[in-house]
Amino acid sequence: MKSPSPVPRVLIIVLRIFLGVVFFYASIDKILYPSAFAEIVYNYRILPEAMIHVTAVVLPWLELLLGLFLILDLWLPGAVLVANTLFIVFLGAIALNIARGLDIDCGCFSSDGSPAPMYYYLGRDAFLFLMSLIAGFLVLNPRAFQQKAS
Amino acid sequence: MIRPIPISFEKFRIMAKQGMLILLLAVILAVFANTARPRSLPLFAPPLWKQGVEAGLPTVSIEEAERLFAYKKAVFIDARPPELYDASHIRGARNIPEGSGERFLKEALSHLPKDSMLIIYCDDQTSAASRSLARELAGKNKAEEVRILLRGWDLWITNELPIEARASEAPKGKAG
Repeated sequence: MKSPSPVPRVLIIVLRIFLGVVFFYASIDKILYPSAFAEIVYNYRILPEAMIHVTAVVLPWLELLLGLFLILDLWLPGAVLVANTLFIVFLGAIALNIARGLDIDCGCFSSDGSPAPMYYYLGRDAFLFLMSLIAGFLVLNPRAFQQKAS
Repeated sequence: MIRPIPISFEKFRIMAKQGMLILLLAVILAVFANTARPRSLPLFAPPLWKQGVEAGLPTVSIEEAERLFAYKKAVFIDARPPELYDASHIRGARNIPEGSGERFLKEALSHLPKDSMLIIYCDDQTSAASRSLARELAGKNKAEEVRILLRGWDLWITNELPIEARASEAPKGKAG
């Protein structure tokens, strides 16, 4: 038996801390200014009105918690699953509004509008999603990249 | 060499369970924090700005805006990005994109006819761009009155009021 290659283990540490910091950072401004974030959620024109405030209140805390769990390596499989789900939802929401031809504030990291092209948001989100997918793959399948024992 | 290893169903079960627990924890934390904060958001109420909470906002109704437009008593300011303005805008509107900076603002204001009311509009559902531009204009513009036409572009298009559009591009509102 060969000992497991250290590459996946190091990679997963790097990925989970990177994603954790991203989520943690993304949550702070939204937690501080929920009504500003509610406006952004509303601008996405996806959720019914009654769901806007609930989403604007819960989502930032979910991001904060997720960030902490990823950084501290707690419930990693679950955290990675939630991260992937969130990125899919975000990607879908941005792509939908690009398809609709709307230019909205992404609100990804801050509730204070810092306008950028929608494709930039899409690209950034796709990159983060890819990182999160790799993390998910590694969590489920830690020996995937191991050298085949000969 | 990548060697696929069968993934057990058990791992997915743990993943799902932990994921649900994280979500539940976030909901509890969020509701608790929201209740504890001084200005908590009503969780299932319609958005605040729809309830007219921002009463201090100087707004103008679409009917009033239409009247002012007809009598040429107001200058319309388009707070959307230049590309959208170029594609189509309220007839005669000037473009001052939100956040375009002090110098641009002064320059744009200097070209406006004196003593006319300024009506700002954009295409945000919440008129965020208009409101932010109104704040930028406040104080810089003593002579004129600044008003916001909430959900201005949408309303203008739905009411089929006069617009100017680039020849090559049909206005969005009338295409569909």
